[in-house]
Amino acid sequence: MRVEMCSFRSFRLSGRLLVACSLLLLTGCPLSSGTGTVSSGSATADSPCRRSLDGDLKTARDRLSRGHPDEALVYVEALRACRSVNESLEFLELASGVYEELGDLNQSWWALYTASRLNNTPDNIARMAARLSSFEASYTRLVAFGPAATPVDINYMGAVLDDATYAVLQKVSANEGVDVGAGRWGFWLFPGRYEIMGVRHTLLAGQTLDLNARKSR
Amino acid sequence: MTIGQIGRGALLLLLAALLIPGPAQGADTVPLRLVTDIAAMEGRQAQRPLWAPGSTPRLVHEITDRDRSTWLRQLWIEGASTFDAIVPGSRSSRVEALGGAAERADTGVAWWDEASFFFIRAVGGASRLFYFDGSPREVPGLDGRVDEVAVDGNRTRLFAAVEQDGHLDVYRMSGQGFTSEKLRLSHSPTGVEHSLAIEGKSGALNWIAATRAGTRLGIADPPEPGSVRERVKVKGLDAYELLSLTIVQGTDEVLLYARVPRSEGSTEPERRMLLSVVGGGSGNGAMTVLAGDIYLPSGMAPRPAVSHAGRYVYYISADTAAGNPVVRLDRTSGTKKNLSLGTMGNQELAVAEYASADGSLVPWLAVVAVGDDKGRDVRNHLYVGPLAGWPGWQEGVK
Repeated sequence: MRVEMCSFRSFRLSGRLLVACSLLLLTGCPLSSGTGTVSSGSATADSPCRRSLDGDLKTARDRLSRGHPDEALVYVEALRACRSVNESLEFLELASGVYEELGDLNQSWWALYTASRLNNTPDNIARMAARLSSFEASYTRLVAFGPAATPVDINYMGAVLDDATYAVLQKVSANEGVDVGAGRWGFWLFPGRYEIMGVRHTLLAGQTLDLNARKSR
Repeated sequence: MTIGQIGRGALLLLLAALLIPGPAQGADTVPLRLVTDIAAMEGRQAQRPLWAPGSTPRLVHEITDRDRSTWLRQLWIEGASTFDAIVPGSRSSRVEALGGAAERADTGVAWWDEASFFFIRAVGGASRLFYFDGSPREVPGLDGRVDEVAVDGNRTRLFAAVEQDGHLDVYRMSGQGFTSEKLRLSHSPTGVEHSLAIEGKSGALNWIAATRAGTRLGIADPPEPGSVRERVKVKGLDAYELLSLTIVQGTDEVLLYARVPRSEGSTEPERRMLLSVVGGGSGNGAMTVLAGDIYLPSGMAPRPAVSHAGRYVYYISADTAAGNPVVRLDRTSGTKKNLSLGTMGNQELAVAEYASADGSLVPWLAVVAVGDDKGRDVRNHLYVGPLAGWPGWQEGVK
């Protein structure tokens, strides 16, 4: 379990990250059972559900605001090991920001989309709807064939392939998609030029490319 | 300059005059359209239009704020309609929504192809190289502060003026990520190289170096360290302070904006000139003054504008009484004509040619002028339009 807390998705393992991870290992899970505790009926002493939600969210938020999303990710992933956090709007909103800063668009979308479907106040519902719209307007949705289908063949055709774009392409090649809304399955991409299944596309921000629609023609 | 070079230059101009249709005679008013009456321009000014290569009229221009933040806006024309997109300050929608990336200076655009470009992004003292094709992507692994970038005609290399350890030099970059093969071309310890320009066929790189002793024209033809000449010697050129340059593609001619240095304490008005240097690369360069009444905006000088393989040269005349008119110089006849644009206080311009539906090459003009078309403000706005017929354009012009 403790090893799982340090099993996170990240593009760089910085020195600070190593320290943060080490601290988590050394200090173990916080056992505070205050109002901010993530709890579940089956929580044990070593369970991630015994972590202090308020404390970890505050720390993660602080790390993110200081421009260290990789450090914030450690806390997000630790909290995420307890499934009940998926009902916490605060956690999901923060997690979305952390994943987005790290370029993991699929996970960022997952967190926002999950948050938007929670029962909540009208203000929160409106805020999440606005965040979803902003997300959709900034990135490109690629609707693919499903988790059991053959992975989509995709290559980036622009002049500069950076780490974040490469990581996104890896997810597409590994068929690690998400529900991209309205029951469709696929991926979120950074806008740009791609060759998808042998066809070149210039995908703009806010655009949706549905491969199922192309296949059915 | 040899007789052969003079003859070749004249022949090229003559061929251009015969084969490339000139602007329609009698179509005196250019149908320009104001393209900066948008929300993002509120309280800001337009500058530095730069046309893209390719088949569709497309340009990028800068939007500047009072706090010197500069954004890039891409604009393209399809038929009678214009479309635009602002280059985001961050790829993160969250950061954009928070306005966290608003304070930036995006400048120094160099088109990679007809729909993507490199640019320089300065944030908090750092200056880095980015590529934009819908999403801004930083060029990784580039040490130093990037001041300017240019793209070669084959789209395999970048040339950049990079400041490192207190020295600014020109580098050629290629290979994986454009940084695996980095070669320094210029070696001037005190020179500040700028105004990089590449001849598309030969790949020759030209630049201006500003030094304590004055400015000079540099060239690397081909762009290899062994072919670098830090100072192109041309009779009469040392009398000017060189400001910016454009290469007339397909030739060995460069056009330069230049300033006549004044004595300290002189009350003479500052004079800016448009010069032509032919044959500089061969070592037998010759200089000609094309115009002596140039207006240039403050700050970095824009590049000289040409069309029709160098037959027509466009510039802004320093005639404030006439609103700084845009002048077109026909170099085959020597005639100068004030273009009727309907704008006032013209500041800078850019010209590029695009194929119309009938296959003819049409020059498109982008001009920064003071005020919008309703006289509501006195900020710098951007106007664009074709200098010859363009199907559908007239219908969309207000």
